[in-house]
Amino acid sequence: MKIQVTLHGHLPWYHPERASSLELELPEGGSLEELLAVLGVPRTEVALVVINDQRVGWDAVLSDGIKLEMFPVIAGGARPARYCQLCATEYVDEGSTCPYCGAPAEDLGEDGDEELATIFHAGDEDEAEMVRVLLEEAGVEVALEPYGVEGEPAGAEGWGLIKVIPAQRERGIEVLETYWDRMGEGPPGELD
Amino acid sequence: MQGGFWGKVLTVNLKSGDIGTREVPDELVKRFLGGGGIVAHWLLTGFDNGFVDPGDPLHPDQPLVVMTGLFVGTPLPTACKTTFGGKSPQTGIWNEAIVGGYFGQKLRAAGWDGIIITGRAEDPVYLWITPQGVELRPAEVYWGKDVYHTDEHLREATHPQAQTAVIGPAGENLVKIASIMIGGHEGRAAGRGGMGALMGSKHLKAIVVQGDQKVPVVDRPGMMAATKDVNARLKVEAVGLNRFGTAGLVQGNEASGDMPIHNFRHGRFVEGAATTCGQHILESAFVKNYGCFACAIQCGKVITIQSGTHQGEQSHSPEYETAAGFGSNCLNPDGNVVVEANDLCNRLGLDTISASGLVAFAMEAYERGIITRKDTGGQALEWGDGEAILSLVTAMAYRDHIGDLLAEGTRKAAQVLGQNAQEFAVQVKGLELAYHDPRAFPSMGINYATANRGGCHLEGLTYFVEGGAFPAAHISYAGPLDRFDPDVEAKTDLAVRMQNLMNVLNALGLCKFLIRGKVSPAEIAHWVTLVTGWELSGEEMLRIGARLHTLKRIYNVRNGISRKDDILPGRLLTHNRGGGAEGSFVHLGKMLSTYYRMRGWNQEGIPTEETIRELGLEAEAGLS
Repeated sequence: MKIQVTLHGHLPWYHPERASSLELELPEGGSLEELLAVLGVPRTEVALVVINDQRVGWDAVLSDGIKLEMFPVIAGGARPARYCQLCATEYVDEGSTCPYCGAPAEDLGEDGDEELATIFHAGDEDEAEMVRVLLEEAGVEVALEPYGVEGEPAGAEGWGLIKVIPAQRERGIEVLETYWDRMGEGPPGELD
Repeated sequence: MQGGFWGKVLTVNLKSGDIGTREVPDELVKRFLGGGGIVAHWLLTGFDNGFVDPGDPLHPDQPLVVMTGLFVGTPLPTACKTTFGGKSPQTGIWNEAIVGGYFGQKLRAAGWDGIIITGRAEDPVYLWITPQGVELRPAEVYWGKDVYHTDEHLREATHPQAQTAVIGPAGENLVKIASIMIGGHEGRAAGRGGMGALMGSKHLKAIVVQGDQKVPVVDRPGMMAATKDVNARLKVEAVGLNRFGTAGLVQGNEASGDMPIHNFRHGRFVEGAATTCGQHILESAFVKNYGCFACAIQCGKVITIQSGTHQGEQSHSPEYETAAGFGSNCLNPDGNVVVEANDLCNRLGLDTISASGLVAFAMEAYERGIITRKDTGGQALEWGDGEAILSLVTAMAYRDHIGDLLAEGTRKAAQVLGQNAQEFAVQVKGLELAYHDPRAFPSMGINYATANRGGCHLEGLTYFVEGGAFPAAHISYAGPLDRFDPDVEAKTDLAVRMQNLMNVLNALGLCKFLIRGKVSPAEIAHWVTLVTGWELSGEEMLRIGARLHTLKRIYNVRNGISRKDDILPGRLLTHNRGGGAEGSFVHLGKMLSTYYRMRGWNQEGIPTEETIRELGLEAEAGLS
């Protein structure tokens, strides 16, 4: 079976090649203990194991195609980022509602691009970077999605997309508009 | 008591040169175990001889009390910690700077449980202690010299195996964040709260001890068996600390939002964490492991310095706090600068947490134009600039230009600078906050606000429980473990329970990392029985922890502390740092009210008469 493993924080340092994300071919039905042995990570250093975004116990059985994450102790109270879709400020428990605004919780997974909202089309990499800094300074988390291959010059359609979680879409657009208003010029790229 | 303490501490009056003995009665040990608790008792009861606190922490009459933990000198796992207690020159309230290494063990081996130092010597002196005698010797030739030099030369002048507690130029210059350094190059620090300045104000350059006596233990075979068992567990459970040291946590703490970035302003420092973490530093510089006395973990790392003035010399690798302080919090991604700054602090005798906090504070003041090149002797203070970091550290130790103000600590510096400097002064009760962001672990928020020495993380390591490193069941905590759970009652309860446990560990002379071995309070209480013969349960022991915490609070209340001071810096209460702690805040007001109720203090944070009587602290609180 094939599984995808992500080691968070300092856990990659235990792996012989220091890999933080890797695809492993293992015998069907393996245990977490067996996986740890392959990775070289001591069990006592792992606080939390997550399979397909669900927390699991040490007795979990591995199966083909799973996405597995490990978080380290002490720091490892860490868990996949969760935002309330409505007020965008709180982490909430799986399947529960946000304790502040009552909205149902939504997950922003590590590869949750499909759930993200595009707010800006960047003409080149510098522009994308500038917009990212602007947004992040305003507390808006940003995902950059280039059109082409990373490291290669942008094509005729420009560099790529700036995306944010849906709950921060309006805030993101407001930040950018305010900035260009203050600068007395229009946006260099295209606001979505 | 048949085992444990010798039952006596040394008394030294530096003004008169008088040297004497003070008894440590069994009754005191049963109430407070050892370490800081006994110090606080003596300070509050005036040493039974009419001592009246002169107020000013640097007044010559102000005592500096060195007190070992009850187990120090026995081979029990991690039994190495010694308290340097008294009134903090930096905060003006209770302080205990607790340090490992081999100093405490040597002091016990010289036949003493502690030292009470009062008065001010006319000229610089050092104290030389052996089982054969105690001597005050002139120290003019060491005055002005750094910690490493002084340590080496003092051991040459006394005994090659002697252990030293030394102040550097910072302590001599009464820098309020000066540390007392143990073991020279070994870089163990009684760091927090400026006890180096208290020692400097007494013109005491060093304490040097050598001895060969065995601490009395009731059941030695029982103790050896317990030691062997726990050491084996520690080797498995604490393997991460052994391999990478505390700075091995840098990347994990960055990811979880625990590690402060840009003076507690921002959320991520991914690439910088990869180049300032322990693993990265050790990869090119590792020489050997270092362990304190009686410790199987060996989390210390000796390295070779890779750059700068002392390139090629050996030094102690930076701890997590230092890597976070001079790394992410100053936006510095250069691990070599972290190593150099750490080494410089150890040489000059500065607390690395406070020193790096002050550097970040100064960099932000510079960014905002509150400090300019005119104040810094021409040095620009751009974020992440290694040269700026190193030059500020030196300037603080020698009180050069802006360093003179920074040497007073962040609270005072923000007051003097005015404008909106309070906005970014990250301190509690005058002590710079340690580098575990309470927005990442809100249970740490209530701990920071109520820790007796101020912005101290060590008084209540709740993130050990929430981060899966210590079983909640050991402290009978049944609440949610999700660090962001908004249950105020439960999270406050967790903080109270951990504060009680930490108070006990300090008093027994045990290291925090012992709990990485998942050792239970009942187990530790059994060690008390093995060492002293006194029957004690885990529950009773944690109750002593509660007594110790309120005892130190009483000292603080006497020095003007109340609810108004149990506060967190505005930035931490109101600013979303993002990253791994995105959108998380500490609900401090609610937590405080709950905390006071749980502690039996009134809603202004003053222990009630009922609580004082219940904990048996009438004498210390001045109740008849």
